[in-house]
Formats: sequence, structure tokens, C-alpha cells
Amino acid sequence: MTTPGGIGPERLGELVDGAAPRDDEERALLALMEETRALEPGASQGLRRRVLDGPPPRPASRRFDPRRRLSGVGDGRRRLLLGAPVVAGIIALAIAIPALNDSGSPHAPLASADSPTAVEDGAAPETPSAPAAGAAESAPAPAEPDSARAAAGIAPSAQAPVPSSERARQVTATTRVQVDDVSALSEASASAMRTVRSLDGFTASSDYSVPNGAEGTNRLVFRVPVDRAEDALAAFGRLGVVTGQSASIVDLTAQLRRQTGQVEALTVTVAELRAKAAAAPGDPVLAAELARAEASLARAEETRAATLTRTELATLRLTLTTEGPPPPATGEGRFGGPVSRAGGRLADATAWLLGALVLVGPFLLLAAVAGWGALRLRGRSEHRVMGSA
Amino acid sequence: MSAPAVRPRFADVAEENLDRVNRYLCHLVGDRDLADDLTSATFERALRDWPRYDPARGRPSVWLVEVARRVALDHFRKEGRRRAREERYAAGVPESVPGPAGPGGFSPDLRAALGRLSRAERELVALRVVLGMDAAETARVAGMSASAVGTGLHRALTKLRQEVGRP
Repeated sequence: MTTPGGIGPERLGELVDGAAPRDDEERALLALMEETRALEPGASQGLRRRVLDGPPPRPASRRFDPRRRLSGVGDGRRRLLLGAPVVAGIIALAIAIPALNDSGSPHAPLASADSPTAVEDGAAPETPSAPAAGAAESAPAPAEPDSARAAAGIAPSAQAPVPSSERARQVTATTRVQVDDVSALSEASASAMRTVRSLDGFTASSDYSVPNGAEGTNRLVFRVPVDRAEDALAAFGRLGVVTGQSASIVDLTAQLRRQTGQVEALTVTVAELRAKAAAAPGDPVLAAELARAEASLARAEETRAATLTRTELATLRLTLTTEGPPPPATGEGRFGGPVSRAGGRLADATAWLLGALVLVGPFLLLAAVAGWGALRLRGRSEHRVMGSA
Repeated sequence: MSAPAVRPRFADVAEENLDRVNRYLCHLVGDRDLADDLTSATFERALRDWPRYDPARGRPSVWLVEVARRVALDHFRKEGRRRAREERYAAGVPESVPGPAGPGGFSPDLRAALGRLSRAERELVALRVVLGMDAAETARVAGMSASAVGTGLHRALTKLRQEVGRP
């Protein structure tokens, strides 16, 4: 493309960028450009003072105004185009997040009744469990050497933790026994209850469930005198095939000794105060002190009694079921377990993210289209305002 | 990896580029008083947006001209809406009023001829000829390709030569 005078766009660009003119026509064009440059001399003194010397605006002190923030976005129509999907997305997220959290809850009951780690009162720590028959040999030993057999007793000849008579211990054991059918399940349940009663224990709870007539489970919790827990576990082992067992022993001797010491000290204190109160009847300070000491003694005795109760009765959880053993954990080991758990959590997080993406994706797409449309509108508006070059 | 660009002080940038921005706006709007107002608004907005300026993306002078362009466009849009509301400005009103003659002995014919160019053409003349920006910077500011800048400038200068009677 050339002008009537013959200077093409490329040559024109070179001239604008400072190339020397070759002929009169180019010199005339350069003169015209020079004249154009001189047309506007620049800022006047007044403007210079106003911009450079005047008080500068203080952006830091400006108060936040959402309308000003939105002013760059465009007119109301474009704001609506951009804002509507964003608002819709936020609402969808607000609805979706609780729903997704709820959908993850079925995992929670896994740690319920027959879980090897479940404890009746969360105070006592559990020893490692032996959830599957094959893991019997490798099950970690409980805290006390003389009760090591307890955690390893998977076979019908399962041995209970053997509490020493000199030590105060809280004993908890969980046994899972497989029976042949629903009829055997009922008989085994009745037999277990009879056995416990004969050992001076009692049935704390029973959760019997036969959902389809062919399969069923009964989750029982027994309280049995500690020194007879071994007999009870042995009897449970004869009800069917033991498919899992775990035991926990927590030594409460020190705790009990401390509580006993407190009770004794408080007893002495109360006796002394009573003697003083008898010598000085009507002394309100002494009476108040005596009342406080007696209350403390009562509390200490209650605490000690509760601890004694925990050491006297073992908690035995028995799960009788027609179903097979739970699938053994594969790849477990020093790293296998954590890696497996981390993988599970990663899978959960991925599922959550995918769900959120599916839910929010359309809105994001809508927002992207709206943004693109706003940019196009802005471009057209600019073209309309500036005219064609 | 190149060293990070050094961020100059805004006061220095403003002092150095005040004339350039004002000349650009004068050419774009064709009205000295209006250009002065828009120049003032440009530096106010530039000071507010200065933390967002990235030295790695271009010279401060180019960034300032971009800010000035946005200010001018906002003004044009606002004016357009106002004119649309007030129907007395609907059509036939010249889009710019020539300002008073400044020093330098320029040609009134040339000013009138510039006024007859479209805003986009005046902008290209201002950026390439008056401010001396290269084609890439002009393309960035005007939001078009470098080749479109060359073609548009060629068309604008051809029109200008014809308007002032210097073929």
C-alpha cells in the first residue's frame, strides 16, 4: 500500500523513527511531523503547579468504597454479568460444603462398638490390638510382661490378661467370634450371657441385629470381675471361631495409691479439725475449715471408689457374627499403615475437590464467559468511542 | 536471570512525563483545558495505582500514557452518556473545541486538520509522532497490532497531508 506520494507504511515508520529523508516528499512529510510535534508545547505552568506542587491525594487515607472498587469493572450491565455467577457460585458452595461434609460421615461409625480401639471411658489408653487371626503372632505385647498372652489369644484357647493380685489394673478386651448361622448366633449369645453370669459378671449391653434372616451380628458388652476375665475369654473362644481379639491393660496402682494417700491425709486433717472444733465450739472460721475439709475428703473417697470399681470389673466386648473375618490389612508395617492412611485421606480430599469442581465448574465457566463477554463489550465500546484508525 | 527492574520514585516519573502526558491528551481530546483536567486526573489515578506498576512490563512513560488513555476513555464514555441523556448534544456537535493557540507558531490549518481526524487516528499521531513511541509501545497502548499501528498511522498522516493541502 502506498500513498499518492509514494511513501509506504514501512518507510513511513522508518521516517517516524528517525530515518533520514531521501527526497523532497519525505522532507515535506518530516516538516509536517515536526510542525505537529510543536503544536502542543506541553503542560502549562498552572498545570505543572497543580500536578507537581499541589497537595497530593492520599490513597492510604481513603475509606473503602465498594462502588469505587467496582468502577473499573464497567457499567451496571457488565457488573451484573460478572457478579451474578460469582454470587451463585458462593451460594452453591455454601450449600455444597455442609452436604459434602455430611456425605463423608459414614466413615465415622467404623470406630464404634466392636472397634478394637474403642474404650468405655476415654481415660485409659489402649494397648495395640490384634484385629485379625493372622496377626496373632506379631501382635505387640501389652504393657505388662505377665499379660502378654492376652493380646495374642486369637485361638479358641484364648487367654485373658492375667492381673496380678498386688496390682490394680483396668482391663479391657475385645473378641470377635464367627458362628455358623443365625441359629448358632442366638445360642452363642445366650451361652455367653450364662457364662458371664456364672462368673459373677453381668451384661452391660447387647446389640442384636439380623437384617436379612441369613446373616446377623450381636455386639455384647460384659462387665466381669478382673480375676475371672481370663475364664470368660476362654469361654468366648469356645463359642465359635475367633477371628479377632485385642486386649488392653492399664496399671492404675500408682493412681490408686495416690488417691488412697489423699484420703488418708484428709482423714487425719478432718480428725484434727474435729478435735479443735470440739475444743472451741462456735468458732465460725474453724467450722468453715472443717466443712471444706470434709467435702474434700468426700470427693477424694468418691474418686478412689470410682477407680477401684474400674480395677475390679473388666470390660469385655464380644462380637458374635455370622459374617467372616474383616479383610486383613494389607501392606501394613512401619510405613504401610501411615502410607495407607495418607492415601485414603488423599483420596477423600480428591473426591471432595472433584465434587466441588463438578458443582462449581458450571458457575466458573459462566463467570469466564461473562468475563470474556465483558472484555469484548469493553473493546467494542472503546472502538466506538475512539473511532476507526 | 536478569536483575529485577528498579522502581523509580513517582515524583520523578511525574515530573519527567508531565509534558508527554499533557501533549498526548491535548492531541487526543483536541481541547487544551479539557486536556489539562484529564492530565490532572491521570496523575491522581496514577499515584493511586502506582503500587501496581510493574517496571518489568515497560517504561513508566508508557504506563502513564496507558493510564491517561483510560482516563480519557472514561471521560469520552461519560460524555457520551451525558450527551445521550441531554438530547441537545445528540448529533452534529463537534466532538472537540480547539483550544487557544499556544506558543511555538503552529499552523491553525494543521490544528483544524488534526481535529478532523478520528480520535484513534489522532491518538496514533500523538503516540508515534509527538511522543516518539516505537511501534510496539504504541500497539500496546492503543490495544492493536504493530502492523495495524503502521497502517493506521500511514492513513492518518495521508489524511493530514491532504487536509493541510500538502500532498
